[in-house]
Amino acid sequence: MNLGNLTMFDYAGILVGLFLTLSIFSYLLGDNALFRFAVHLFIGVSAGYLVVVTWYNIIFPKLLLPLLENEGRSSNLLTTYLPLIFSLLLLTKLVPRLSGMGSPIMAYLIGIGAATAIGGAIMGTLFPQIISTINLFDGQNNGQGLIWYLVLESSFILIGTLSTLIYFHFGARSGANDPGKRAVWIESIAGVGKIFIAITFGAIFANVLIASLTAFVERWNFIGHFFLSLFQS
Amino acid sequence: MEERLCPYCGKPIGPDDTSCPFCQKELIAAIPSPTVEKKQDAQPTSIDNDVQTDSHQDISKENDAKPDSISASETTNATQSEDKSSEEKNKRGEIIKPLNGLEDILPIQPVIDTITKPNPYSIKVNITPSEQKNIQLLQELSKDSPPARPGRKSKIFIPKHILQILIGTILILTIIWPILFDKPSFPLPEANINSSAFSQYILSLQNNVPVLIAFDYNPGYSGELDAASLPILEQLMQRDVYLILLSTSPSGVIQAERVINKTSEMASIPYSSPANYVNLGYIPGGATGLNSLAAGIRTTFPQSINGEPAWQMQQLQNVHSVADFQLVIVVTESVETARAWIEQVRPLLRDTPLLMIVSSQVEPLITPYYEAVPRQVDGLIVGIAGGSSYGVFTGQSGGSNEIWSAFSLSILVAVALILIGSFINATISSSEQDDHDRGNG
Repeated sequence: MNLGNLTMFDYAGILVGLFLTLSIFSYLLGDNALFRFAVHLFIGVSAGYLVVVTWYNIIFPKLLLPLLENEGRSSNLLTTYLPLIFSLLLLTKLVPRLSGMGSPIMAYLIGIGAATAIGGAIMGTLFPQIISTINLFDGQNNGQGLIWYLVLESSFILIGTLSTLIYFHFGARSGANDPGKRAVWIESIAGVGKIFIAITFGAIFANVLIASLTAFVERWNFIGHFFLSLFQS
Repeated sequence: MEERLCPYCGKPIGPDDTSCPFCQKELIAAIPSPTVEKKQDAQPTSIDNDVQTDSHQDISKENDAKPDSISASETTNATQSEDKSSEEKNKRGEIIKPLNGLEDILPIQPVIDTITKPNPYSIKVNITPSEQKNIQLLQELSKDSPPARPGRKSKIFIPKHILQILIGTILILTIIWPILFDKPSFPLPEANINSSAFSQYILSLQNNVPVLIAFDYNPGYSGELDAASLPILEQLMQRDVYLILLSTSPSGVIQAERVINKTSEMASIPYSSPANYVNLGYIPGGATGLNSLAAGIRTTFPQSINGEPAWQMQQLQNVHSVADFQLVIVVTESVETARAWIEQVRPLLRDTPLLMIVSSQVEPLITPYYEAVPRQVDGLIVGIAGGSSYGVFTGQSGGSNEIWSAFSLSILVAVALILIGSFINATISSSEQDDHDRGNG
C-alpha cells in the first residue's frame, strides 16, 4: 500500500474501512457503542444496497420494462402481465386481511422451489454419488487399473458411506416383555458410522477455523500495512 | 322517609311489600334478571367417560360462575317468571334510588347471559396398547444417550472477557509480527496436482472464447477468496478470454467488478466492459434461478447490469446455452451454492468443464464431488493455500503471498492455543473428578 499514489477518495475509503474494522474488533473488550454502530451500519447499508440491486437488476428490467415495451402488442401478455399480477398478489401477504390472496402464489413458489431442490438432489447428488461409489471398484473407470491401494481406499469409502447411513436407521422391534432395541449388528455398524461422523465434523470445524482465521489475518494485514505505509511516508 | 312506588303501575306501596297491592306483580321480579335456560339435554363434551355431569349439575355450575346475589336472583326468576308474558319479561325497572321507577335501563341481563362456564374436557388421554408399546419403545431408544452431567464450578476462575482479550491479543500480535518484521518467513506451499489439473483447463483456452465466472460469495470472505481467485483471473486475462460475470448473491455483483478491476490493476492488463467482459448481474431464486439459467441464459439475462443488451458482442454470438461456454468457474464460500451449481447446472454443461474456487470451510463437503468417478467438479482450488499453490505453479504472485507467513503462523498459534486450552481443561476436570470421588468416598 503506497499512500502517495492514493486519491482523496481512496483515502476516505481506507479510513472508513479502518474505522469500521477497529469498531468490529472492539467487541474483544465487550459489547460497546462502536461495535453496535458498525453492525447497524452494515445492516442498513446491506438493506439499501439490496433494494438498489433488486430494482436495477430485477424489478425494472424484468417487470416494468417489458410492460413499457409491450404496449399495444398482445403476443407477450402472458409473460408481461402475469408476473406483475403475481407480484401484486404476493404483496397482499403484508396485509393480514388480504393475505389469503397471496397464498396460492406462495404455495406455487414453495412447490417450485421444493421440486427443483429435490429433483436436483436426487439427479445431481444421490445418483451420481452412488454410481461413483460403485465405479471406484472398477479399475477401468478410474483409468489406473485395479490397484490394491485403490481397492482399499474404495472399500474405506464404501464402509464409511454405509455405516454413516446405518447410523441414522432408528427402526427397532419390541416383543411383549422385550423393550425396543436395535439389532446388535446394526448397533455395531452404527458405532463405526459414529466415528466417521465425528471425523467429518472435526474436519468441518477445522476448515471453518481456517476460513475465519484467513478473514482475521486479511483484516490485520490491511491495518498493519496502513500504519506501516503511514510511518514510511 | 321517601315514598316507595311500584315500578309497574307507579302506585305507592309499603316498605315491606314483596308484591304490588294494586297490580299484584312480584316486586323482586322488577330487578333485571336473566332467563336461565334449563339445559336438560346438555351433555359435557369429553373424550372419555370419566367426567359425567347431569343437567342439575350443569345449572348449578353455571350459577357458581356468577356473583351470589345475581345467582340467587336468577334462580328465583327461573322458577317464578315462566308464566309471565314475554312483554312483561322484557320490562325492566329500578327499585333503588335515584333511578327508582324508571324502566329499560342498566340492561345487565344480556351481559350476564353471555357468561357461561366452558364445557369440561378431560385431560386424560385414551392410549391403546399399541400406542403404549410405541411409547415404551421410544423411551428405551432415548435411554441410549446418557443425561448431561451438571456443570461444576471450576477451581481456577478467569473472567471470560479477560480470556477473550488475552487470546485476541496473542492472535493479533502473531499476525502483526510477520507483517512488520518479515519474520518468521514461511515457504509458500508447493504446487500440487489440483493446481496442475485446474491450470490445464485454462491453458487449453483460445483467445476471446467466452468463460462464465460466478462470484457467489459475501464480502466477509473476500480476504480468502480474492486471494485464491486472483492468480486464476490473472491467467485468464493473459489468455485474453472474454469473461461473463454473474452472481446468485446480491453482493457478488459488485464483488465481481471489484475483483476484475483489482486483477487488471495488479497484472497491468487493461480489462474493460463491454470490450473484455460483461457483468450480467444478480440472478435471484437460488437453485430455481440457476435452473432457469441452465434452461436458457439469454432469456434469464437479456441485459447486462448496465442496462445494455448483453449478447451483442462478437464473442457471445455463439452462446445460446451454458454448454456453449468454454469454461464455467464458480467462486463461493457456501456449500448450498456450490451444490446448487453442481445439481442444477452441471448436468446441462455436457463437455464444458465446471471448476470451483471455494473457501476452506466448504472443502470437506465439496471434495466428494471433485473425487467422484466421473468427476462432477472438474477442478478445485481451496482457500488461501490453494491460491498460493496455484500461484507457485503458474509463477504468478497472486494476492495470497503477502499474508501467507502471517496466516501460517496464526494457524500454528491457534492450534497451540486449542491444545493448551484442552490440556488445562482436562487437568482441571480430572482434578475435580478426584475431589468429587474423594468427597463421595
